[in-house]
Amino acid sequence: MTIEVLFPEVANLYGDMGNIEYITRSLEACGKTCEVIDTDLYTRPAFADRDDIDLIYMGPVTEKGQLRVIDSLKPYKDRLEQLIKGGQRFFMTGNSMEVFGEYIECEEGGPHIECLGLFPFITKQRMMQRTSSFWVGQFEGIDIVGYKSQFTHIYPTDTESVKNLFTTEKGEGLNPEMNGEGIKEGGFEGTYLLGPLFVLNPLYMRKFLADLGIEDCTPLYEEAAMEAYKKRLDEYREPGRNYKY
Amino acid sequence: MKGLRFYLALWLAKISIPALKLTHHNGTDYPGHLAIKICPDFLDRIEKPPLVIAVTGTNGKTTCTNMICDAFEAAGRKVLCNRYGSNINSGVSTCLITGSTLTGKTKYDTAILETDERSAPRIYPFLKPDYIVVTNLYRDSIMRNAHPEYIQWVMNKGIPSKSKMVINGDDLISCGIAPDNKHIYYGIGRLESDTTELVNRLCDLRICPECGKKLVFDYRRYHHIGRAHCPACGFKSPEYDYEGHDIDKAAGTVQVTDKEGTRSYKIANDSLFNIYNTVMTVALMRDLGFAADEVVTLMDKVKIPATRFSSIKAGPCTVTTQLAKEMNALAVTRATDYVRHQPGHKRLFLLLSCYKVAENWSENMGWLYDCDFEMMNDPLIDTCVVTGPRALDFKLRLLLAGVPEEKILCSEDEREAARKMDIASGDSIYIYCGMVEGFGVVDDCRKIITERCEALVGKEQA
Repeated sequence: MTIEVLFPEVANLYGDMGNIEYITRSLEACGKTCEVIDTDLYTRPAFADRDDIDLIYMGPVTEKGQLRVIDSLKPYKDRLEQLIKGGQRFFMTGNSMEVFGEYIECEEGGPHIECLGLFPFITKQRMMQRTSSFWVGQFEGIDIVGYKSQFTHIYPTDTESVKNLFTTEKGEGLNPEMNGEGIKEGGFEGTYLLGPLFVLNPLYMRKFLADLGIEDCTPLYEEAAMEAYKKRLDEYREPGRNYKY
Repeated sequence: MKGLRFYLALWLAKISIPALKLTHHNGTDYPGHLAIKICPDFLDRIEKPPLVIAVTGTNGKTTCTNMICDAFEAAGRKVLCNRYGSNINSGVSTCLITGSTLTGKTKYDTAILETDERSAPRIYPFLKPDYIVVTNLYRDSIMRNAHPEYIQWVMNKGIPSKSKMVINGDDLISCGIAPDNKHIYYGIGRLESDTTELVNRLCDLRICPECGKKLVFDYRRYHHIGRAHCPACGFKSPEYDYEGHDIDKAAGTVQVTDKEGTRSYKIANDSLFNIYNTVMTVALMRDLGFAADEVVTLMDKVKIPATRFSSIKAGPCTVTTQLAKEMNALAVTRATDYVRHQPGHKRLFLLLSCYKVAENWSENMGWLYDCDFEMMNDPLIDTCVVTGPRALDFKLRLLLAGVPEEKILCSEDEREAARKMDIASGDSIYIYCGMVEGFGVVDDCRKIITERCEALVGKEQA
């Protein structure tokens, strides 16, 4: 399996690099080989020339870093569009998925940052209004738990053509008015959920690996991960528990 | 003209102080909160001491504030200080209220005030500090502080142009605060233990803050602390005004060189981050015009607050309480790096679940994956006790860090864990505590562990 990690020098916030570490170490423990390609801001991405990348991953990024990410990906916009249409698997966490939308509006009435324009959504950024919450929802019948901590929300400009990755049971979706969380378009998956998501959700991790064609691999220390997952799930569902920080 | 509203706010706030004492609510920031509610620009209107020093940064604010205060008090100054770290605008206001007369005049000649870095825009424009000391900027609570670039941005919104900045020159993120203000840089020159490669999981500065190209570290102390340059645009770490070097842990000293020469100063603690705090205190005192020889004498009186680090002998064991803020990957990493390099076998007792948050919310545990728990996988660390509402998350993280399962004791009940953990004669037990002192958990667990250690004496004699 080959994973390309985009821009780890800036897209590394909130412990979310733990996602890639957990996947690679779980694969290694199952006797699989896993090549990780770290692509920095000034290197031609592997996806630009190769068709054998199994997963393209990017984690949460600072706001200045997000501008650099957009600049670095713009030359590859057509290639990215081709890959998304062709079913290439992407997994984007936190605000990294925002760069694939139309633009980011910085503060109300403020300037906007042109993004890649690959999906019909815009992002509203409010730097003095950080929202943090925990979240419970579902993916194809699997219960998912995660955290959110962000300055931004995504607003689809065409609600019909933006499909969500998860449904929300408790918490906010892509924005406070939406139930749907994340973006799913073919093999492209993006979510605001932090965790690291795969560490927090061993059942989802199994499903994710199976969808990548790896059926016979269990998450590393699955028993300990499941104990923590079940406790968190029960806790988040307690009626009196606030989900917003 | 202070105005009727100001006096009403001041008097009611002052009346609230004895009322709070009577009801055993000492140390709250309620008086300042009340004053600001009545008079929103209270902090602007209240008279400040002639010299105001603000201390901020991610880690070490309380320690540094106390160290500077110790030095000033040793110099005979009348110092107003929020030693216990009530550091947002209401806490700073409370401190100024306690230090003022009924007419709003200050009773002190110097204020040394810890200030929350995120509260800078609500404090600094009104406090107008003469000096702002910045200890460092690191990744902190995901919920509140997001990332250091955000904190730098927030701080830059509120710093008056007249404030002199005392900055850790080994921290290029701090160096970007208030770039147009006068900066005084302190730091510690190259050490044998420095590397050029990143050995930690967490590093908040990997690219040049000017041009975005890859930053080259000439040497790296830990995380992004060290000296670096950008081959693309020429950006580089600043020259020190005050350089610490030749640390002698056995003698408990560090040499500090400034433009007038070199002196040897006593260090309050031999951990590197506290040696930074010593050099910072020296830099500030020297820049304020204290003679080097006088500062040498003053530094003898400077201590680390016991709430940050305290060590006691309990029977044949040593029990150390080490502050390591929960939700702060770097604080726990630095604490562990210090502990693992101490001689002998150790047992770690982690009280790091965020208890206040756990009452009706749930802590974001992403920080565990920025933290170097791998350092706990050490042949001289015999036990890692993980406790509290998030004990299972800690257990999983330790397993992933390579800590053998038989070395991990996992119990949500902290006191039960203190009763169950293995303790043997000669042990060094380190209790990591976050900001939970007020909840009694730390005190209770320390008491249980200490009593068990002391009981070993009787067993040995029997």
